[in-house]
Amino acid sequence: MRTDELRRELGVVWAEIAPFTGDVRTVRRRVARRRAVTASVVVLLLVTTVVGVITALGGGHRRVEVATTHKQLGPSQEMRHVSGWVVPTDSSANTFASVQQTLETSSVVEQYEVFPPGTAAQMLAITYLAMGRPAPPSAKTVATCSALHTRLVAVQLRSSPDAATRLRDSLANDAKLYTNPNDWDMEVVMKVGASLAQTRAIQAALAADHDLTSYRFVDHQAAYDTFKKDFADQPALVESTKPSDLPESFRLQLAPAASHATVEHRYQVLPGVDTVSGPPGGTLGGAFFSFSLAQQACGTNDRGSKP
Amino acid sequence: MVMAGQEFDEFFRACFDPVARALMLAGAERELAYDATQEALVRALRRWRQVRELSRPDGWVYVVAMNYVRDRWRRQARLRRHDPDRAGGWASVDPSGAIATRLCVRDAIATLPPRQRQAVVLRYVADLPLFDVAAAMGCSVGTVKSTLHAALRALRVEIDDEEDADADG
Repeated sequence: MRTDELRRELGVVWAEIAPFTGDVRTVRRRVARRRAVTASVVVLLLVTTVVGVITALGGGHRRVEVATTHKQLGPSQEMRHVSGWVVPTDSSANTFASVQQTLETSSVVEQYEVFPPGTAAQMLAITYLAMGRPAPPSAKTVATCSALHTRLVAVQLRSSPDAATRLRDSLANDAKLYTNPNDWDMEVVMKVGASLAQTRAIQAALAADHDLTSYRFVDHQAAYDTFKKDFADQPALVESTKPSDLPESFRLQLAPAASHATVEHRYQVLPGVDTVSGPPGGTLGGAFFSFSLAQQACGTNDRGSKP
Repeated sequence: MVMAGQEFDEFFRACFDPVARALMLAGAERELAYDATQEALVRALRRWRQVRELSRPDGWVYVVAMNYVRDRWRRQARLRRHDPDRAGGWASVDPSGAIATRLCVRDAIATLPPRQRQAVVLRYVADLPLFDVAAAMGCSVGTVKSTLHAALRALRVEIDDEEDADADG
């Protein structure tokens, strides 16, 4: 057999097969269906992408571009000195972008660090525990504090007397700025039984410390006065406490460039010192922030809701 | 659009029957041949503008349909692995070389390994040029030639075509 014969034989066999009748309408229907499916997938993808982009840009209509962040600290960096906390008035991305823009452009902001939502609630709880307050904030109180669900920004301001006021003006209605209401940044608390010599040694060290702008000594009696004020609602506790039961302390004002951590470490190791703490308590803030937040943002003092 | 619609309808009518029968010659069952041809034409219509520009639009359909059949066979082979009763079937090879005793070319074709069978059908039934056969089978023209050569030898066909003679070299 030759190839042309093969062709012929194959043709014969081919002709023996019963003919097929295809239905072109079925084919057209299937094509239409597939096109519809493809189109809907494309539309779905498109919608998802657009929605994603809009969400990422925080609504789009009030888009604030922050091209580069020069002042924002990275995760590995630590702020040397927390001058205050900026709390956006709501948790929208728009507001936050606007706040960030203000911080970047403001002439009084040295650095800032952003903390995720939930940080405020944690800080509040820690503060209550650390302060030994009888009633931590109820879950309801925490939940109703809208400010607790926003991001937080710790800021370091330049040393200028009206820095806080100027930043408040720039932030306008986008955010509140909470600054230290006290005239001191850190506190060196002596042990209750610290000797006079130990206290004098600390005082001498503080006087020679260039990282401080000033310091103030709080003796037993002054501490007792504050204690009486703080626990006025618990007369039994005040009755049973003598001034000598309360530790003496030094309240320090830090120079603008000074590092909290350095100062804390310097005095923590000296004899007679119990703790070195400060309202900002390192980077994560402290009492001044949490209490003012609880009171101002929630409009209530949690102690008032105590049974 | 109306013109394109009519054009495709004509193409469909001219194409469906030959392709389906060729697939049966290549060993597909009737139902599979029908499905494969229909699927290939669905795909052709989806990109009709490109397909119609080809020198052999029907060749494209042969190729796609043949691939569809091959995919089906692979899937069936996987399923069949645990079912010895249905093993063999179309893929059986007759190593005894008893082809000459068979009168029916169709039977002879059925004994060829799948690749050889496809090559024979695409080349001698669909009458596709070697280049298109190579594209259809996903191999080089040289491989198509040697595959055809082996097939023809199995079918006891004298190798006399000039193109197939090339495969000897």
